[in-house]
Amino acid sequence: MIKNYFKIAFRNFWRNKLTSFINLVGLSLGLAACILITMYVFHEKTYDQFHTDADRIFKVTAKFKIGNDNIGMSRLSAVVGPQLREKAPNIDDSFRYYTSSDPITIRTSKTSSEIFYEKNFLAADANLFSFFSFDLVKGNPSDVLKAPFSVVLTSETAKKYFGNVDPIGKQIIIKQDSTYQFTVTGIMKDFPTNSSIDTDLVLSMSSLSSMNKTKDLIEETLFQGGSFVTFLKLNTLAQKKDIEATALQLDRSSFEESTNTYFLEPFTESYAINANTGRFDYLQVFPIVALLILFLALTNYISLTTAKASTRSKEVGVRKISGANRKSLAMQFYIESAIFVTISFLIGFSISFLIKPYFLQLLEIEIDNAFFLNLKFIIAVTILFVFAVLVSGIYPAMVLSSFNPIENFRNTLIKNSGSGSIRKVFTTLQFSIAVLLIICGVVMSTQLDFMKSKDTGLDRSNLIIIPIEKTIQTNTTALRNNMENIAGVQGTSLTQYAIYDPYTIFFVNAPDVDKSFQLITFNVDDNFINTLGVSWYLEPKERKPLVNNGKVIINEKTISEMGLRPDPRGQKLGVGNQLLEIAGVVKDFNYTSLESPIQPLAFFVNDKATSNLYPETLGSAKIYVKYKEGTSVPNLINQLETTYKTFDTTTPFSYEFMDDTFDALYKSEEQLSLIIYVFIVLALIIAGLGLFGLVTFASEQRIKEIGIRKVLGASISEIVLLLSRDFMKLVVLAIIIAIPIAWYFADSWLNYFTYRTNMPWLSFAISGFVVVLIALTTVSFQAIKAAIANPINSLRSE
Amino acid sequence: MKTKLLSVNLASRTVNSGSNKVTLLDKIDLQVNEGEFISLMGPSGSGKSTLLNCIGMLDNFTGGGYTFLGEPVHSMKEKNRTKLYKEYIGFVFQAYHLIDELTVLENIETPLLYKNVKSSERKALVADMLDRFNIVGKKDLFPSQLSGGQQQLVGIARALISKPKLLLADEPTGNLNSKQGEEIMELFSELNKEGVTIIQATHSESNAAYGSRIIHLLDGKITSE
Repeated sequence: MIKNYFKIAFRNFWRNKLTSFINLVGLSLGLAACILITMYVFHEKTYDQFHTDADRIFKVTAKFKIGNDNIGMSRLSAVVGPQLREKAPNIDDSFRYYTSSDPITIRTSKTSSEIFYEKNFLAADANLFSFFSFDLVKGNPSDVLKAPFSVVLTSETAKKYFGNVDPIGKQIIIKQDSTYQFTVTGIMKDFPTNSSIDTDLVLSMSSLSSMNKTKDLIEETLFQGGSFVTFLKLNTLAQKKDIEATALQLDRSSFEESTNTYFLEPFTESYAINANTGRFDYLQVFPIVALLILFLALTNYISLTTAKASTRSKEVGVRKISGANRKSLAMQFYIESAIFVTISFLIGFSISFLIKPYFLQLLEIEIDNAFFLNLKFIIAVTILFVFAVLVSGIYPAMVLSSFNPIENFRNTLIKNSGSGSIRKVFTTLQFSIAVLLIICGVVMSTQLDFMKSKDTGLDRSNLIIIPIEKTIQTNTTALRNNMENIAGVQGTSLTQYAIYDPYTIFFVNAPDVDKSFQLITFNVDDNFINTLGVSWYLEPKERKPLVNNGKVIINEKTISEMGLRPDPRGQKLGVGNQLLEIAGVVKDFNYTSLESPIQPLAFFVNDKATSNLYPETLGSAKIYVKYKEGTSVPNLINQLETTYKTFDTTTPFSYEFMDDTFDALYKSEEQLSLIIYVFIVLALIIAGLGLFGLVTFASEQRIKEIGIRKVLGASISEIVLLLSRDFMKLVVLAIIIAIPIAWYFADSWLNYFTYRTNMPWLSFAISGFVVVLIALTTVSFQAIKAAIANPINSLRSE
Repeated sequence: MKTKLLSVNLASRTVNSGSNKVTLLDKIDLQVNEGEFISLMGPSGSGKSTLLNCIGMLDNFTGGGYTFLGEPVHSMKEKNRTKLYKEYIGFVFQAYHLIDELTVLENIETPLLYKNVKSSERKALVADMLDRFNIVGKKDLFPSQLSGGQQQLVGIARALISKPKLLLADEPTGNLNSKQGEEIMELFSELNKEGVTIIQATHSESNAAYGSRIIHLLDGKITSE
């Protein structure tokens, strides 16, 4: 019996090639999109869960108080882990790691000229491989990180350094503040992509006490904040509060007036807590989009199948007369749907596997292929599959099995092939979704363009940013002098940070105002304001308002926020333990993304000679190079690189354009809008296919009517109108439904932004127009075909 | 004494068309014994098909009584009726009504599938039937590849596969040319001789003559016998 069902199912697919094809494409694409989204969401939601003891691992964090603000600390002093383990109850194990933002350089021998530049490294306690479930390819997990100056590399890094030679026992020379020789003791597998700890090489923690820069950090004895990310593995979760209390005690015994409080953060939630998700929580948007697409694909299948059902009515009749009951018929059609969905699912799965790299590239994340075998992902996809089979099969099975044999034999034209109104509802909903997505996409682009083109108070054009590391020592003045001599260079400036990068906050007070505030501070040189085209609101009276003369420059916002005088020049600000005089005020400009409001900000201006010390004292700095309009940029960059290399041979030359840096602020929006566009196209394809199928069917069903009308003298255009009108009504209704919903979502999304564009009503109209156009093209294609057919043929078959 | 196969007692069939009640069959009284070959005659719309459908349990009388093999069909539950129907009744149609997606063999096999007959037995029964109608060579063809007469043969083979006591035929030769029609009627006589009770609806006097009894219908009433 089942064999018979399969046979007839396949013969039917083959006979109705067009419908089957439309169904297959729609369903496969929809399922592929859902599978990809499921994969992404699961990957993000299962961060750090692969560790065997994941549920018992906690990250220790702390908060301290300044004024009314709680400032979080994710790094603690070296003793926090060990002391807690000793004093607090029920701790199975503790683990610490240290990372540094200063890159290191690596050579494989003293004489090697090849220098590797590494940023992604950490120093870890010896129990790394037992505390977490990271795997070693070579080496003994319990002692690879025991001895000082041991290093464990990932296979990839090892290959980069040593090629195919066995790296165990080889030496690498690491240069940080000074030069150290490490021995490779182990090779580890790359960490899974859903691990929040990620590194290319791991140094043994015991090395830190022998390295100048970290000696003090590792030998720190006070229980407080510090430089080590600290984890605990608990025996019972019930003791969490006690451990937090013990931490508080230990902290107070180090320093009585401390305001620190400690928290155990579940490791598996740590990623989600700390991820900078911003306004776009992909994790929230994507599942909704996936559901919409799935809905589109399934309803498409259902309406096409039931529309096509009348062609099966004779079969149903014959089967009933041959003794089939409704149950066995329902089962037959259910199995048919199940076969169809299974095929689509397999195709969809293959598609998702093929386009996965592009999808991930778009999101700029990595997901291991092994994740396809992750149990949770497999379960989720299986649920998706079962759901698709269940939902797609029920309605067609019900409709098809309900046919009455006598009615069917009597009427060659079947009126009742499932409820037409359900198909109307589906078509309307499908187009509503399409319109909704289009409008959301358009609003996003409009807002993005708005932000990118808004005057931010800075001149971003023709600016190159060159990061400088400590390795340049005190050569920036010479470097800048040489750069300024390159043809086309208009000027340079040296600053502590790049605009749009994270910044330092100082807590300041104004003695005349008696309030304390957060103030963002930038160390810049005296050429900064000119180079970046910041305008003066109140120009300083002296030419060089240098910080070492006790002067500071503020922005307009500071005046209002701190309640300073309208012309605050001459007023004092207490910054740290210095009292600085306000020398001038710049007009407000945006120093971060436009989503954040402008806050009080101060410039500490230094002259060229003093700012020369930035890399030394601050660890890194940026040089801004402003070039003249029309300069050959590749040529300029070449010259900049050559110049740079004469002053710093260790840190490789890199650069970025200020414009790009600014655009990068909107990367997540940009990505999302791009992905939404992909989904819009997908939604339109699916909805369009569905409409095409329905119109094809409608014209088949009304073929006799069309024939009669033509014999009676109807023109082709009248017939096209007749066939199109019903469907176009639905599309227009869909637009009317979608617009208010789209408006609601778009408006609440725009409200997240400090600077928001107006609702682009024109684009609403355009979206509607585009959808109508697509629908009309689809509908008339079939309608015209039906209208120009010779009526003799259609009437003869009666 | 012949056994009574079925009896229809003052049975009617009405339908509601809008606000009008239309009577399709009006107080039909009909006794059928096993082994009879009855021809129903009458113009289009006289109720031949409706009567066949009601006797065949595809449709129900709305009034009166209907007894099949001593069992009261009119008061029976749908499930039991289907059981009775599956066991004893075969149908042949004017338009053959074969399933286009199934081959000749599969079409004939279908009723057995719904009776849950075992595969080996099914094969034997179908092979016998193919043999008997001399269509073994056509068993893997699809209906569209056969002539009308051949399709009707398949239709009859399918109706007979479950060894029914009663064969109902609604204008079985209506779509065939006269030669094919004659062959089918010859086949019916032969089947009747083997003991199958047949009720056919027909327009044709010559076809009706094959029957042992001719019943005339007009406007839902039996006018003469």
